Amino acid sequence: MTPLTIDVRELMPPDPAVTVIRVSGYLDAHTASDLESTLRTAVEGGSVRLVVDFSDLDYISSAGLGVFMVFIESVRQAGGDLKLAAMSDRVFSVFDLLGFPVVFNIYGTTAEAIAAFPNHGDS
Amino acid sequence: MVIRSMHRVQPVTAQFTVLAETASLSGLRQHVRSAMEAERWQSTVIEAVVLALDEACANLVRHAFHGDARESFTVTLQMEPDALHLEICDSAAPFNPSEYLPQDVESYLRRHRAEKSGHGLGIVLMLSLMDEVRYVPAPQLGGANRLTLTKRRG
Repeated sequence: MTPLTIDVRELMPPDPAVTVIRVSGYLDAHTASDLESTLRTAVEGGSVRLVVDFSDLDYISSAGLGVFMVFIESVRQAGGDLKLAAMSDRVFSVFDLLGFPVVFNIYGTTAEAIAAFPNHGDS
Repeated sequence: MVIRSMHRVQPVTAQFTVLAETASLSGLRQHVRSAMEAERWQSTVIEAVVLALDEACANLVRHAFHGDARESFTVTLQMEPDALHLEICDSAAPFNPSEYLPQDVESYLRRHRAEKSGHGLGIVLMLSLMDEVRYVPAPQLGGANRLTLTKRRG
């Protein structure tokens, strides 16, 4: 299993300004700081409409989940959201066990998560 | 003669020495996963046990050893026909996981907001995923703290 690979893609107009962060490999106590750095760079650069694409993530532990907790409040206070998408059943079960679906918006696909941002497709 | 059931007389045991750094965790997960697969544990149980072990060891590395890779601890996996035990032994300062237990994700968020830090979710996972979690601190300085995680088959 490969460690964590992170791919960041900015959707530009006419799409809504959404940053899609695709994570592959495993997200654990060793690799979580890499994702935290990526998210911090995005948020400090003004990106507050964020989607994390989990489709190629094989494994997550609480250290990985903790990264999303760091940013969710500040992103929402700035009028954005941190949406989570395309989790395997195995990854979703960890989020579910800890009650994260109460706090986070979780979508079946990345396209659904992008489309859920306000004003999507209006331009 | 009718053989009604067969059991292995000896439990299957494996022991791992793990460096106290987070980089060690993926290898440990892989070894335990492989050992359980060889004994035909159900895949959902394997994932639950691997995650619980990962959480226990990550806590130990971070909070007891502070990521000092000169240190190490041992993990002993013992598989019986109907149960599995993981014993994690270390000689760091005692770290009782249950003292870091948040109630739920919303209390975690409140704590995170108040302290700008937060841990404890891993302990919730560990307790949720295993049938039994026992912690015994070292009886004297230099002795071993023991955390035992038990999962029963079926």
